Amino acid sequence: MEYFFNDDEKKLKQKAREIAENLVLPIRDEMDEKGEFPLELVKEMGRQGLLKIFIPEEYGGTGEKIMDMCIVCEEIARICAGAATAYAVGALGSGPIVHFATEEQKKKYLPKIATGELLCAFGLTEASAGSDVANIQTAARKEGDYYILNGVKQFISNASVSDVYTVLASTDKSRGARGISAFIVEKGMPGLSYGKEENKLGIRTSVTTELVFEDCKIPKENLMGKEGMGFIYTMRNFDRARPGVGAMALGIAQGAFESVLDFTYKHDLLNNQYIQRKVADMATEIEAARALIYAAARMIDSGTRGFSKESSFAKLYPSDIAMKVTTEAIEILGLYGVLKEYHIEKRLRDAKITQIYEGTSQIQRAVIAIELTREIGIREKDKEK
Amino acid sequence: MELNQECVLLQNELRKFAQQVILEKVDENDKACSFPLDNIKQLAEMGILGAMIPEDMGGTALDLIGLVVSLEEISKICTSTAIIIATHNVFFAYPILKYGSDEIKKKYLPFAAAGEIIGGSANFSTNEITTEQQGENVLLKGKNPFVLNAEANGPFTMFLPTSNDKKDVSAFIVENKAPGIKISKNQNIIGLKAAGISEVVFDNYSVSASTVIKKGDGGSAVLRETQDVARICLAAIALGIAQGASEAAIKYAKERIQFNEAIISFGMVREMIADMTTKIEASRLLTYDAAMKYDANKNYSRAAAIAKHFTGHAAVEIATLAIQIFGGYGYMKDYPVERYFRDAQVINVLGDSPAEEKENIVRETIG
Repeated sequence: MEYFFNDDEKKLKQKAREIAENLVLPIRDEMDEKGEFPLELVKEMGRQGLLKIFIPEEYGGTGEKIMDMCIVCEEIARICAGAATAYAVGALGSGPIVHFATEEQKKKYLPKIATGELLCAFGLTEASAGSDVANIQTAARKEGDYYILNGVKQFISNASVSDVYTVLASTDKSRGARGISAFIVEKGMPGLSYGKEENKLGIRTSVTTELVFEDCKIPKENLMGKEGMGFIYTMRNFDRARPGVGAMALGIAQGAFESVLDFTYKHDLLNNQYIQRKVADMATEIEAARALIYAAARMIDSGTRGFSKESSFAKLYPSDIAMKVTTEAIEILGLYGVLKEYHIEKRLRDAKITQIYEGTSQIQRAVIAIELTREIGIREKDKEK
Repeated sequence: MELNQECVLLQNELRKFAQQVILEKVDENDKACSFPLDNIKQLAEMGILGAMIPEDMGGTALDLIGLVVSLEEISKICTSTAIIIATHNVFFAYPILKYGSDEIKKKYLPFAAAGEIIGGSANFSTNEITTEQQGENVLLKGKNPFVLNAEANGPFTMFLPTSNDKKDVSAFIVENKAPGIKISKNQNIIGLKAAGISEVVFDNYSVSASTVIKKGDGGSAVLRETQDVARICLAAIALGIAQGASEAAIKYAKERIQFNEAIISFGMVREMIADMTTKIEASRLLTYDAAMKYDANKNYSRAAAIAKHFTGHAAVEIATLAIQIFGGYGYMKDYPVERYFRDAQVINVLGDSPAEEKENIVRETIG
């Protein structure tokens, strides 16, 4: 399918593919086995300019285009979704700084995030606040020129290897979601430490750790935007980030599909109609997912307001397709599919997270349903007029 | 579909054993890829290793439905243990019992029934082996990455096509300590980590005539019947995974509070539970039906093919949904559902691939 990439996009895609094949591929198996963060890889991606795509031009980036993020995420995840997570999760932390931080904060952090000098992470989830984001218990109380943070953030991707964090904490518990504020926390601030490191089914080429705050003292200048706006910042940040997760799921599906084609061709199975049915469906669904992601990305990049629904489409469908394609890929390869050397089983393990993180598939469906309800409400009101 | 009283007693006994004994080390064994030998020895004492073997050879001669409910209960807690038991009983003991000479039967079955040997089997579809006739004997070269139970150091059965159209099959027993074979544990499989599945490399291994169960046209009948019975047992194991994953997910959904409510009160979670439950019940009916057909000496091939196809797939779907209900926790190795998910993938493609399964069903249906 032709998607009419401009020259910059074509170059970016080419560069991402080269990095994936030359730098990610050689370390993929070892990293997956050990469950280690590929620090040198992410730094090198920074040196080659791939972290700039998350940052606006005036702060040393290349424009913060969702399309660019999707292009790179797909290419890296086509080889290894763990590496793609290690790379892209920083954008979840820098996104709120780009959109909601003060000019000073932006100048202080974004240029260094653009080069990869500073790695970034996003601290939201807690033991009792998964889908129920507003239920976070981490509290920030103001004392003089500081905020004092207490609480534990769970399942934080890249936590232990990052330098800067966007962290959500409640400044006014009585106000629920409207009492949540966002803070910029730096590694080394007193009272910040790293807790349990998770042993995961997949995306093992990325680390997932607890972020522990014990009377962590944060200068009041590190409050992001206004107090009480943290929940809204978070939701808007997710709206922009979801197509990137969709693109990772797409990359996983694409990689698995290519392995299936290689295997079936090599074993002379492509003339078998069971196989033909499966590969034809896979190809169609992967292309449908790609078209959906790109359409959402172009819509967001056009500057339109209100794209929650489309952004959810662009995560929900591709993540379902990633699971479907990898599951069926194993069925096509049979017992060879569950062996490491064919890299289907790894993709299946990686694929499952795309239905869970940054809002589960159930949350995406709820977002879509809420938008649909709102739209029909407006339409009915217009009719009454 | 009613189980008889004997079967219900057996089911309760195995359920208790699985929960009180097998459960203790299931995670540890999965992580360390260690073969649960202690559990297998205890199951031998309970008569489960002689399930297919007649009493005069020291076995317990259970009905197949008895073995099926046992495998289901074991697999609910530990799928690796269940596949070890199924391999020993079906892929190893069954073809010997059904087609072996008296000599071969005497040589292996009493020891198999007592658990003194744990019999294995080389998965048929992954033979990468060439054969060469040398006088009386056949020489094997090549490998098979999926030899079940090979880590237990027992003899294992093998089925090799000896004609191009695969009509002629040689079914024989490999002695693991014989010259010309090298066994190494296969740790590159997504699941069944504790089952001791190994890669066996054959370097001019000589199959002696005394270990041949059947060859020629008769060999393909042994293979076919063994696979038919195995399908029923694999379905039972898949059913155990589905049941175990679903119970874990329901328990979690009742305890997990989000938005001030247990998540089991949410419609999208309830829908998943409805789908899981429906597929489990259908799987159980199909699997028990196939086993009961076997026990009643009716034609069971078609029922076996359908049971394995449906239940293997259902186990994968249900384990996937179970992770989804657990959310982020389901993705972590602290909870059992990711193990069910990994194990289900292997069980679903063991025996035949789903495409072959469909072909079996069609063949048995259209006649």
